[in-house]
Amino acid sequence: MATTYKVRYKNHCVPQEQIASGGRYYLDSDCGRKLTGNAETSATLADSDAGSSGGTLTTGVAISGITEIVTAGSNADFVYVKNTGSEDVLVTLDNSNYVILLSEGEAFASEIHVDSNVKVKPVSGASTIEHFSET
Amino acid sequence: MPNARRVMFGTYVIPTQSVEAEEASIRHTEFQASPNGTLGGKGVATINATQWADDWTSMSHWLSDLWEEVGTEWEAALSPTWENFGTGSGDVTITTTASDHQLSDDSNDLAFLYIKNTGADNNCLVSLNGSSGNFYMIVPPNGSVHLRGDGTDLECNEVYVQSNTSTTTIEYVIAKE
Repeated sequence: MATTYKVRYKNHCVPQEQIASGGRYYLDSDCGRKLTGNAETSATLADSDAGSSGGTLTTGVAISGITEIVTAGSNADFVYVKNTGSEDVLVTLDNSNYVILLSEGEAFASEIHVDSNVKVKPVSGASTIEHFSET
Repeated sequence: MPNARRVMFGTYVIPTQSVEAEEASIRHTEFQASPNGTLGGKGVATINATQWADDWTSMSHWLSDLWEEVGTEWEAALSPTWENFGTGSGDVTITTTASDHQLSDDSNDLAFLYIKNTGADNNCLVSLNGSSGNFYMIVPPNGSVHLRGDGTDLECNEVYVQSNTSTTTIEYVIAKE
């Protein structure tokens, strides 16, 4: 009995504009609508017959320096990382360019290239994260 | 011009497993054992009220609302029919040639990026470090990705996209700090 694993995920956003200082925000007129995508990982992830047991959520990971969450060569297909601490966290997908910023409560989720090497580090001090990846 | 702009955003993730029944070719889908539930996060990105150009979002088609900038030869620009006047759908076609698909030529720091693959068949690949960089983010058909820039290193002009094969279409928002 093979068990196969997938990840369904959605990234959505609502651009807004404020017409007058102190006023309420409205849907941004340059976009005109809310934006969202909804997909399942494009490839069926490894099944139990291949020795996989699916992904594993790791929570409460304390970070004060560079921390690796997807090892190079691990052939991971999907990564999710959330900043559960109070300090901003930077994320790189290629082991060098820490250009994705996560503030408290924010998350990043994407299918990734199998050569990705995902690492995180706090902007300053220390923070905590949770992460999930699957091969 | 608005007084201020922001983007509210969220992420929702459901890890699932499809389990085959004991004696028949019947499957059911359930949460994976870990995390045995859903994951997600949300936030608000403050972006510049005055964006780098009108096409900071693909929905703002250059023909859709800039009548005064169409020029003196608007007849030619609109040729052959009014139907060409732009739908505002936001869809932009991309090919496998990354160098043709720089989302912005602006050198300001990137504040927020959203890309959705609106195509039906092929993946959209995203690079955050130029056309010859690593296209490590993969956006499947109907999927999307968003991120905030770090505010110092990632510039708007470093984001490139390409289709993994043939062509696909995307819609996007690329906003400066």
